[in-house]
Amino acid sequence: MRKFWILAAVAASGQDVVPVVENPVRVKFDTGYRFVPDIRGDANTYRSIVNLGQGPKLFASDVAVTGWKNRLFDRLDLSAEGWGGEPYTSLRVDFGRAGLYRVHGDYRNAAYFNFLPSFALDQRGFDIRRRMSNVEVQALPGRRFNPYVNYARDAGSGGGVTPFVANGNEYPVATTISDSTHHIRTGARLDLGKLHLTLEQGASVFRDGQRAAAAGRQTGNRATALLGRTLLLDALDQIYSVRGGNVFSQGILAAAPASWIQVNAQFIYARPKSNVSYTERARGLFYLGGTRFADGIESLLIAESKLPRTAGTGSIELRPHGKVRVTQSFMTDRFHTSSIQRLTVNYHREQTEVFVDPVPGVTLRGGHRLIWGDTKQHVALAGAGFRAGTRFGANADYERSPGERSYFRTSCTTTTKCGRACVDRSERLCPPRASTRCSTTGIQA
Amino acid sequence: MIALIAGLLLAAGLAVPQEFAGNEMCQACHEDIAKAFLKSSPHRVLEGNSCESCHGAGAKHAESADAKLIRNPRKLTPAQVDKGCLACHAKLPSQHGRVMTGHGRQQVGCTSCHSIHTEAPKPECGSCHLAQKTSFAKPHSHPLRQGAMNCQDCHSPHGTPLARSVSLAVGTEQGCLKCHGDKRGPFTYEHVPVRMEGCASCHEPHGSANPRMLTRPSVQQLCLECHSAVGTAAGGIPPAFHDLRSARYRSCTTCHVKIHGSHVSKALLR
Repeated sequence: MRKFWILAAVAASGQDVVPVVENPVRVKFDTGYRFVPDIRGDANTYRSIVNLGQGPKLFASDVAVTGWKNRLFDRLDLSAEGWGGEPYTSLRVDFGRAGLYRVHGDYRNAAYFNFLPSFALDQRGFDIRRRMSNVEVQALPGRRFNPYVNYARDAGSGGGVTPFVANGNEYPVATTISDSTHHIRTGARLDLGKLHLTLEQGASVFRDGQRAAAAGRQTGNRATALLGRTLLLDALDQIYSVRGGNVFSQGILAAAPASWIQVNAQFIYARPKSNVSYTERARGLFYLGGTRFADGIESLLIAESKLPRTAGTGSIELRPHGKVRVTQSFMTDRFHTSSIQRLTVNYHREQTEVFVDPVPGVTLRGGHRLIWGDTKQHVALAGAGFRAGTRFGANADYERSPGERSYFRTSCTTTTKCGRACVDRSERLCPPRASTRCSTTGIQA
Repeated sequence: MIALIAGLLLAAGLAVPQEFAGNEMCQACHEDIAKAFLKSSPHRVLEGNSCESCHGAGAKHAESADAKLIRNPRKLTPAQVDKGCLACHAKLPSQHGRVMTGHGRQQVGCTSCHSIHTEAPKPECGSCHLAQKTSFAKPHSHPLRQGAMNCQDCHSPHGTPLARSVSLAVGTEQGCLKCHGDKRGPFTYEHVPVRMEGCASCHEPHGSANPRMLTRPSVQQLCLECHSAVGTAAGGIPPAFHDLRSARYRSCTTCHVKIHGSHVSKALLR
C-alpha cells in the first residue's frame, strides 16, 4: 500500500524521484579504561592465558567516508581494534577514488606469551611480538588494465626459554628471537571482457636470527652421572643466522567464451632459497661418545638450500543445461629440495564431476579423481545436497578408493571417507543445531 | 506466423527487450535498502541501472509493484544466484579454484555469505562450520575470537586448489607461513611431513585442547604415530637409548628442538 501511494505521488507531481542523500562521514568509537586491580597467583600463568593489561584502551573504532567529491579520495573505510597495549592490535584502512586508484592496508600486532609447563613441549617459554603489515596500491586507469603493487612485512621478536641439546644432556637456556620477511609483488590485471589475465612477479627477503645464551653452571635434565662424571654447562653462546629469499612468477587466466563455459588456469613458479651460518661456543663438561669427554664445544656451520617449485591448476566448468553442471580440474605440484638431503615430490591430480539438480533444492553429484606422480590412486566420488530455503541444508559425501601403498599418516592411499553435515542456520527461532561428521581411514601395505 | 514466432520468443524469454526503471525509481520504494547500499555495498560505485543489473529489468515491477515481476535472488536456487553473480565475478583471480574445492562445489550460493546491499551482518562462517567454530573455544587456539584474525586469513572461501580451501601465502608457500615466517625454510634437513602434508599433520589449526594446538595431548604420542615399527609408519625408528619409561624421553621436542626443520642438524636437534 505504501508503495502505491509513493508511486501515485510521484506520478501526480510529474517530478523526478529525488535520490537518497546520506551523511558522507560516519564515525564510531568504543573506548574505555580497564582496571586490573588485584591479580592473585602466578603472573606468568595470568599472562599465558589472559594477558590483558590495565590502562586506557581503544577497543574498536570505525570511520567510513562515502561520496566525497573533488577530494583526494571519495571513499574511506578505517577500522582499528585493540589499541592501548592489548595483546591483539589491528588497523585496517581502505580508501580510493573511483576510476583512479585504490589503496588497501592492514597492520596487526599480536603478543604471544606462554610460560606454562606442559606435557607437549616442556622447557619452552615465549614472550614474543609478531607484527604483520600489508599495503596494496591498485591503479584504476580504466576497466581494461589495472596495475598494482603490494608490499607485506612479517616480523617477530622477543625472548624465551629453549633447551640446548648436548650429547647425553639438555639444558634450558635463555633465547632471543628476531625474524622478518619482506614481500613485494607487482603485476597487472588485464580485463578483455570474456578474457581476464593477471600476471604477477614477486620477491621476498627473509632474515631469521636466533641466539641462545647461558652463563652459570647447570646440570641439565640428566639426574645421574655418566661413566662416573656429571655433565655440566657453564657457558653458552649459540647464534643462528638465516638469510633467505624467494623469487616467484604467477599467471592467472579466467575466460568465459560463452555463457555456458568457464575456464580458469593458474601457474606459479617459485624459487626460494636460504643461506645459514651457525656458530656455537659452549663450556662445561660434555660427552662425546665412547669414553671421551670434552670441556668445550665449538661449531661453525654454513648451509645452503633451495626449493624450486612449479605448481599449476586448470579447470573447466560446463553448464550444458540449467540443471546440469560438469566440472573438470587439473592440478600439478612439483618441487625438490636441493641441499645435503634431497626431497623430490611429484603430485598430479585430475578430477571430473557431474552435478545434477533433479528438483529445486536437491543436488546430486558423482565423479572420479585420479592422482598420480609418486603414487597412483583412483577415487570414486559421490554425494548429495539438500537445501530448504536459505536456512537449512544437508550434505552427504562419499569417496572410495582401492589402495596401493601408504604415503604419509594424513594422506593414506587406501581410504574410505564419508561425511555428513547437517546445519540449521535459523537464528531467530533458535532450534536445536546439529552437526555430525564421521571419517574412517585405513592403511594398506 | 509472426504471432507464432513472437509467442515462442516470449516463451523462451529471449529477444524481447526489457525496460529498465533506473536506480532512482527503485529508491523511491526501497529506501532502506538504497541507504544501506550507498553506505556499505561494494556495488555502490555502480550507477544507472545497478539495481537491475542483478534483479533484472524492473520497469514493469515499478509500474505495478508486483513482486512477481522482479527477480528476487532470495527465491532463486544457489546455482541461479551464482550464475548472476559470476557473470561479472567469475573472472576475478580469487575464483580460480572455485570448482576444485570450496563452496562453489557444494552449491553454496554467493548470497549465503555476501550481503549484496545491506549492512546487516550475514551469517558468519561458524554458522555452518559448527565444529570449527567450537574448536576456537578450546584452550589453545588461534586468536580468532579476540579479533586478531579471521577465517579468510587462512582460507579462501571461493576455493583454492588445496584441500579445505587453504589459501597460499606468497608464491607457493602455504598460508600458515604468512604469520609463522620463521618456519619457512627451505631447510637443509626438512621434516618431511611438514613440507609434504602441511602444518595440519601435527596441529589442529582451529584449536585444540592440547598445548601448541597439537593433535595429541603429548608429543610422544604424536611422533610415534610415524616413528615406530608398527604397521607401515613412514618415519624412522628412534634408536634404542630412547627409553620411553623415562620422563626425559617422553617429550621428544625437548631435544628435537627444530622439529619443523633444521639447517644444521639431521636429527633436528638445533
